[in-house]
Amino acid sequence: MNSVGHFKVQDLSISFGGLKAVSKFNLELKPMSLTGLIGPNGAGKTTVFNLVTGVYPPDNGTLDLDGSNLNGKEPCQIAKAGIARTFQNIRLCGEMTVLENVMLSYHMKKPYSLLDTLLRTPKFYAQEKKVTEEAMALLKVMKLDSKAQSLSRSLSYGNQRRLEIARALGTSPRVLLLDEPAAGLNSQEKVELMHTIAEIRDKFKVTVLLIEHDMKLVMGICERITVLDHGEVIAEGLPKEIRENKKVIEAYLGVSE
Amino acid sequence: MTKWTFWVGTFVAVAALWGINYSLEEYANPYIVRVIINCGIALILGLSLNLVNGCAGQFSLGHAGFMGIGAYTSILLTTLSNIDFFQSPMGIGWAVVAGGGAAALAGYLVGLPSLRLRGDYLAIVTLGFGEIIRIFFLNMEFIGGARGMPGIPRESNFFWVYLWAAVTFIFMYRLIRSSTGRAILSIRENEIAAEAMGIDVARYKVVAFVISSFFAGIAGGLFAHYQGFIDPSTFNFNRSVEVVIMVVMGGMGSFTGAALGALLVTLLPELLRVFAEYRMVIFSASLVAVMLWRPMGIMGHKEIWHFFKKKGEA
Amino acid sequence: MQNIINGVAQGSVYALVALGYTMVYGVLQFINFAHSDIFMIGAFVGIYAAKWTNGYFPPIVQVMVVTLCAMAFCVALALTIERIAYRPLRTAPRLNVLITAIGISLLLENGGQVIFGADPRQFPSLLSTTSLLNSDELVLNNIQLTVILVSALLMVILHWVVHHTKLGTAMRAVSFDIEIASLMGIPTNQVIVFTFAIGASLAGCASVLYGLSYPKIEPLLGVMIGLKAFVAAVFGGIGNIMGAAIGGIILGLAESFAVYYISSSFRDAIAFGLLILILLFRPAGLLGTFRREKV
Repeated sequence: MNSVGHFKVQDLSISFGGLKAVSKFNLELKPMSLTGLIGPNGAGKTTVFNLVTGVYPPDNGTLDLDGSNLNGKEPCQIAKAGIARTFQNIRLCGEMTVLENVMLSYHMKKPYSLLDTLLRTPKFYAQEKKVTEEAMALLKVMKLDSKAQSLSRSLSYGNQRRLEIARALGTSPRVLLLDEPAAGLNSQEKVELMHTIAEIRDKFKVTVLLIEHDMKLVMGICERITVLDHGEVIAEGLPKEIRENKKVIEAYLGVSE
Repeated sequence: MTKWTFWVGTFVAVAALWGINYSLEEYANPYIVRVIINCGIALILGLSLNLVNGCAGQFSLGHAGFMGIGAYTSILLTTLSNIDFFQSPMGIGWAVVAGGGAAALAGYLVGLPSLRLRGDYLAIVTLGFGEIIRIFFLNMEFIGGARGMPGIPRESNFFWVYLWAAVTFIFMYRLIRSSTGRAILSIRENEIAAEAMGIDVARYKVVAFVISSFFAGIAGGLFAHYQGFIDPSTFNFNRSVEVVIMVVMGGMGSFTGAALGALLVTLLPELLRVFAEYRMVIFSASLVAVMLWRPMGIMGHKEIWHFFKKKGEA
Repeated sequence: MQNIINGVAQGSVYALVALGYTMVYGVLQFINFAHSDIFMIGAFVGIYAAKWTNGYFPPIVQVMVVTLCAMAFCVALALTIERIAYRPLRTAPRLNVLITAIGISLLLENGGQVIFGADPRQFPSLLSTTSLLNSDELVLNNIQLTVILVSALLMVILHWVVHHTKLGTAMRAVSFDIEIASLMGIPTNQVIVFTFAIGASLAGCASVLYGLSYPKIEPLLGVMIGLKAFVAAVFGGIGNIMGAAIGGIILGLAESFAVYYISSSFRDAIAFGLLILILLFRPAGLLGTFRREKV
């Protein structure tokens, strides 16, 4: 049994000027699990991601990855600890090539020193080659290898989302957070993407948490689901349980009088 | 490229620099030599600022300050100290390097707190630091104060200036085409994404700033030992703006672009001398024109050789 | 006490120029580097206007006429610059607009040197200086008093315009979010034009007030004053009108005390020292609010 990628979030809270965006959020991700985080617009899903990855410092709560505490760490330290993410509003390095975008995420492993860089030592060439190959392999998984040399801003919307995933995988994460990876795709692309996500989980032995609007999709692939509304967890459990949960139905469809 | 060809190439390049230097000193018109050397110093300044403004996307407006620190530190050693070593040509070379080191240190001290600030705010703080440095020199009587510092040994020449320009270019080019380079570029492209990919953005901003300041300091040292005289007004806000213009005109993030910008900014006013008093007017108008009609600068993000490659290859 | 009077008088000029920076920044989020040179041009227009109007009016009226001429010319100039150089770049990256502004600033400075000559000119003394107060420790003359009163009046008017008129509401809306404002039917271009016009007219007025108190006018006059006024704007919180006024006065006071207690040669360093301190410890300025980037 793979034991890395065990991620626990306890009592996570933040408020923005009096508005409780997320309050007392609890979540436990078992190693290699695939969990969905759903909820209506403005429920605080992306805020949870931002809190977990250190973009916003939480008012309260603890983050624990495989027994080490991640509280108060900078986003880059959290990435180094093994939590990678994608962004809902795509954030690629537009003027860099697709390949360079993925190679960027290998930087934190410090493949070679500044001296190697300037003197162009054999180590530089060897490491650069190795990183290029690994990045290409990731692009292949995301079916982007043919576009490796294009500028990332020239990619189609769907491909940009896939590139974000490839780039996140480049950090060799234990936990992968996907923020609406299927947004803007057509229904066939969505189904394909969900299969790819499941494949990634098995191939890279990574714990996945994904935000998604489309209930059907989430129900299809996620093993567990957490439902967020007004910054609070209103339900947590197996897809089957969630489907029948009264509070969830109310949150999505409104209360019937 | 094998090691053998590399060393031969280096040797030939250095020998060529030496040869050109000799023939310039022997035969060329002093005015032409002056313009050529000013171009070389501008190259170092433009290339170094390009790392911060063009590649890392951090808008610095205080480059002249770091140039000034390099200049004054080096003359402190060669002109004001009584150490014999620094009177020799070799020693002057090291004094220039020390100037670069002092500028790098200043860059670290300035960069560490101020690089947290974004965009315009950073521009203003660096502007402020540049001015403070200048006013500091203005008030230090032992380095000449406002009257300036004469009697600096005139040891830098075509050879040294262009050797340093070449070193700067190779340094920057290799740096940016590496893992560290990708990290620096990602700051310009998308800071938040860079952080999420494990790039310590704050650190690499400072790294870029320190490297850039180092070369600005070198340029200052070379300048001082070419002119033989410096005064604080050499390193004023207008000088900083001039360097920014080089980078922006040439194309942000392109090193050949920055080099082109440096040549344009130095040569245009010289070429426009026929227009006498109108030359600076034409110069500033052309800057506005470039911004209006070619907002990415002359080269954009591309290097010069990208224009000669076939489509699809680049 | 004398330092306070000198400081407030000097600070009022900074404040008036700072208002131009802060208003344009508030609406368009860019530093209008050319603003300081508009101020300089205003001073020169003042010189010419004073020459032409000499003898036709009593002194007080003449000062008013000269001020109006300077203000009108500054507004015309600012609007031309906005139309030719800034408006085409409305959607361009901010750096480009900034560089363009620097380019325009250089253009005005160098153009000024060609047209007016590089040597300083004398601003005519339209009002003869009379001391209103003259004891051993305190000197206050009519010019200082005029500067302070006129500046205060202008700031009150400006405050009223921004907070109590339809135009002011539109300005605040544009500064909040230019796209949404335009969707709500606010003619954003007109609002921007008004913002530039108000800023330039304040600069024009400030230039005459400056000329009355410091009659040495040269084409590079704007550089230092502009930088300091800008510092004042940042110090008070850029985009904030009260902030610019307070920032200007504080800067004027700090300088006049620094000259008195430390040395006049460090006078210019004071402004930048203050600037760096405030940006490091309170980056949004005294009265500013910081906008968080949405992720």
